[in-house]
Amino acid sequence: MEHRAPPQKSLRFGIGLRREHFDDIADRLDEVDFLEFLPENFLRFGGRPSRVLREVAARVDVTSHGVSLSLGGPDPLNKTYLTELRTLLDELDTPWFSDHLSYSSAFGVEYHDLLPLPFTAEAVDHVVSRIQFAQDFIGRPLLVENPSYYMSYPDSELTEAEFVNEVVSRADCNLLLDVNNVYVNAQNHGYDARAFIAAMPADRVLQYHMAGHIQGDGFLVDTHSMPVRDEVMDLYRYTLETVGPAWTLLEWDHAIPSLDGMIAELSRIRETAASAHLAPGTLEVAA
Amino acid sequence: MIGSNPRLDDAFGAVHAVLRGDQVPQTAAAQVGLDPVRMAFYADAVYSHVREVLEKDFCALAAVLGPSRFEPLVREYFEIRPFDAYELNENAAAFRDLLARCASAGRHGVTDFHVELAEVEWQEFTVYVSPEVIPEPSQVQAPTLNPTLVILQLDHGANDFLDEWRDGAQGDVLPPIPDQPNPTTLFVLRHPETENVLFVAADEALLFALKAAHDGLTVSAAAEEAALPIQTVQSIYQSAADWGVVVLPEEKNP
Repeated sequence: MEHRAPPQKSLRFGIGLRREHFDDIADRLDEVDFLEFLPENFLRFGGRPSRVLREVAARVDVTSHGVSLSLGGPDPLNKTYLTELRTLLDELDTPWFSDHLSYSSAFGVEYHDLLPLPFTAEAVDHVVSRIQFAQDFIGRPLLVENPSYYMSYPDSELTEAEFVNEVVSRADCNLLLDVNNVYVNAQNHGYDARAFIAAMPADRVLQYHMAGHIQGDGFLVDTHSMPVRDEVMDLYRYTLETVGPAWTLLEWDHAIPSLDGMIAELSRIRETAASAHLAPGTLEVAA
Repeated sequence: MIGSNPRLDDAFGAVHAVLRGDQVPQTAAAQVGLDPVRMAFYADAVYSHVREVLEKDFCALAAVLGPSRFEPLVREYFEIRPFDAYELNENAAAFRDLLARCASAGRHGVTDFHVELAEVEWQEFTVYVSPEVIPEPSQVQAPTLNPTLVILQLDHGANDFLDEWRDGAQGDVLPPIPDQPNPTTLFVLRHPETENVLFVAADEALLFALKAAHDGLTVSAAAEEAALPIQTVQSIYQSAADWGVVVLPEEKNP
């Protein structure tokens, strides 16, 4: 099925559209290149959430980043959710939509958390068909995100990088590469973050996520509650040099700072990107 | 789809049993080779989402009950009402039913006041996200009711308590819980101009404006029907519009 063609890969910088910034965001749109919204926080809401979303979408690009598609889950995909999502994305004309390479519901229960899949051929088969269905249903490019995960299955036949590559290739979808998740997972599961980045399908990466994490009880936890750590900034620079430019989003979902704080942190990311040695001809910075 | 994925099926089942609290992590983890500590980490996270949304949507209630009485309610709600909506807050809607049952049975120290407080807080949320579109003054021909308006009949003064608690910046020192019955008709609405959610105890003037606007009466028609001076009805309608209860036409001619 034909999907809306994604834009050319380019280096742009955005933040999430959060309720905490509803009063100010419309006055600060010239300081971001795009905004990302969680559709679950807007789909069924009227009032201020609805008005602000439509107001900003009329002035800057917006992307949709879902958390409840449950691409890897055992239950049938939620057609009600998909229909509501399609209607909203058509109205806002987003360049793509994204969700996670994991599952968030099972047996009729919404966990509101992201559960990992085993890295097996069986799981690839399972999730590929669901990604294809969702992408066809929405009619826009679907970006799947590599999630952070804190438990791994002993019967996994593939490495995480192999799993991601296999899914993205067979489903013919795109990738939202969360650089913080790569760092956290590499630390927690004992692999080389740079080797993982280098193994990613560069031509399919249209977006990056950057976020903060904390030290948990014996492992790192991806909390989206902190500034981006310097180690993750370094990995982002390496990612840009290896994978190439892509829209880059600062994710911050807990202990959300003021808009000034968000813009300042986004500036750190811009500065890191500016220090990256990008291959000639790959840099197309947004006007 | 599950039938063709037996090992995936095992994984889904084992994880689900732990997340729902039906099985201890040690047992389920052994079935699929997962780390029980990490399974417990996920189970804690999923349960925390339940607590967090209830604390957010019913923050005054949580403060009044305190952790020792609120936490058992969270646990019971988690057990009897698995979340099934992708929109997180929707899953909190039935918490009021649990509170009502607890109040009837005298469990967890829940009283009718707590049930009423929860109802006001929940309606504030539903009004905030109401998909109803409030018309502009240029779009109405006669005084028109704000379509986000919700009317509650209260008996226990939850609105007064909320006012006092919020005036005190929602601190740890709680205002006294009203101990006398105080029948009140409460209007909860989203203000057409500020978009802020507010509530107001209806007095006779607001009730008059509500009925007249509901019946689509212009100022002159309402004045005639109630045998009141036009200026009086104009004043009543204007006050209701200031509160956001009604939207007046741009031209406020009788």
